[in-house]
Amino acid sequence: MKKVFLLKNRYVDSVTLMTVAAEISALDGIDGAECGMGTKQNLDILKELGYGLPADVTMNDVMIALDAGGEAAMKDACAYVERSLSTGHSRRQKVYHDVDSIGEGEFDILQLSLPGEYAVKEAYKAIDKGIHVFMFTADISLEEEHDLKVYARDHGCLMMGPDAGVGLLGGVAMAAGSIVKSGPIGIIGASGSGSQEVACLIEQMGSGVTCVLGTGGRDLKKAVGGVSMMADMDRLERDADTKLICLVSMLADREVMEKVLEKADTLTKPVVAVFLGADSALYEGHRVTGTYDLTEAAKACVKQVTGKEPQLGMTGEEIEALAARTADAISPERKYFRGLYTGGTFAEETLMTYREQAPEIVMHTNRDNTQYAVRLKTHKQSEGNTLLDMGDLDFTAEAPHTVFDPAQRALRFQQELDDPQVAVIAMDIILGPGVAPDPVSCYLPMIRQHPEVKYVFAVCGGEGDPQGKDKIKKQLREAGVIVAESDHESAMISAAIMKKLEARTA
Amino acid sequence: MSAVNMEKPIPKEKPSVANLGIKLFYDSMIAQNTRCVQIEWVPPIKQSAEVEELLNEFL
Repeated sequence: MKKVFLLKNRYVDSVTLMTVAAEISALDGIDGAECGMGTKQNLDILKELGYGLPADVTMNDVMIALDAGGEAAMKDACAYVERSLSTGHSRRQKVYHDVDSIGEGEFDILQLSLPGEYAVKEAYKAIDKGIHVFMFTADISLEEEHDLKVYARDHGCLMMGPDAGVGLLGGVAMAAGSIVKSGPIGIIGASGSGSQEVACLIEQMGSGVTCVLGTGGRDLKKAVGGVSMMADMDRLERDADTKLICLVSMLADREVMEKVLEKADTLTKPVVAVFLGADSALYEGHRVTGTYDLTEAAKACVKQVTGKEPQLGMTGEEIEALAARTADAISPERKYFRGLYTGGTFAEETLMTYREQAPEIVMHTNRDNTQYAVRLKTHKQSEGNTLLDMGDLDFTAEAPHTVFDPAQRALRFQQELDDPQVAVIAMDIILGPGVAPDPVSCYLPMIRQHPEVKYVFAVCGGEGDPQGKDKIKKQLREAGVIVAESDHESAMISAAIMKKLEARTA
Repeated sequence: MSAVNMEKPIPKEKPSVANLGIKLFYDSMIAQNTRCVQIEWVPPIKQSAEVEELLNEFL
């Protein structure tokens, strides 16, 4: 039997609802479940799936659509949803309905992830109350983003995002960020996974960070003009605890990157920059230490604050030897690389490394705006050597982002294993208090079952992250995975293996 | 007053957070022992163009 239950006048975000739907689908007696707000699009989907719709449903209601064997299973599923969505308010606690209901000085940060059409208004209200804004929401126009950032800057507030995935403030990880030890390095990042990687590697090499200020991925676009990155540089210049500033971004608008570097020239503190994919001409004539990958950026930061050359990962000779041993163990009919990435910057850094290290390998991808690969016909099917960005809308429109729920990537992992020509699978594993609590268990049985395929993973996480970075690495190594010390090293290893396989078939 | 004078500092201790949207992020704040509230927000009611036109006519 199919039935739709309503939670009247309640808003719950789509990430949570997709996750809860997946969880209740696995309960005893439930054959299928969908959860969503009562939008026209969701009503159409339920109608198509054969559900009768309650007459009083509105777009302000949460819908729980259940296909179950009986009433008892439905009742249990509804109770499960209520428990999952509970925020633990007691009756004596103040309930807030929007930013208007927040009093002056009550909160330091508004962490905002409403749909774009509502988020901008709430962000302005927060800034008017002197509250910093961390905005995960991405569907906002570049003009609105620019104006919001200028407004925040002129009112003395941080505007992190739109489209900010990570941040670290007062030792607390925002959104999908990691908990990293405190230290003298301040990170300003227009790249979520890039900033997180640099922060975590800095910690791994014995130093730490004052903060990670995520500007959102579009801050260095022409229409936004780097407003947040430049305002944040001024702040960190004045911050007594920050001794060195690190700028992290993917390749962006040339003029804006130049403007950012000119700004860095005016500061008194040392600045390390990584603009992934930039050429050396970009950094020429500026006082910043220009670097070309995330690992190099983290090493440059640690070297400057400690005065010592940091050690991390394998030497070039060690990578070559490992690649030779691994390639020898791969049978001749297996020849393709498959990369299943959740972090956009990790995907880009890997593609860039392949272009540098193994330009003879043609890579396919679903990523837009990359100069290093050929566009896939469809994201649903890999072709030859393929690297997928599973954080892209192609995938997140269909299921919760893999960083929150690994189920979608686990299915794709199996799909790649079913291809008898697959030689190497590479992935990033991202840790943090706001992401999947168990990001690797779902892959381990498949890895053990298919030792004929070789696996190269990198784990991005801080020592304070609840998943336990060392435990995760140990689990992977015990299953037979090559665990690199960074995304760049992972790309170097898998590219060296693939280069040997390519030479074998050429 | 200049932006620097009215500048709200970067938190040095655990910040207090109001979370508006994805509940996982609220759960993360609580797990990090940070003071956090989940704002119980509902979308504003949208009027159809027809209703809006009628209201404009009468108000």
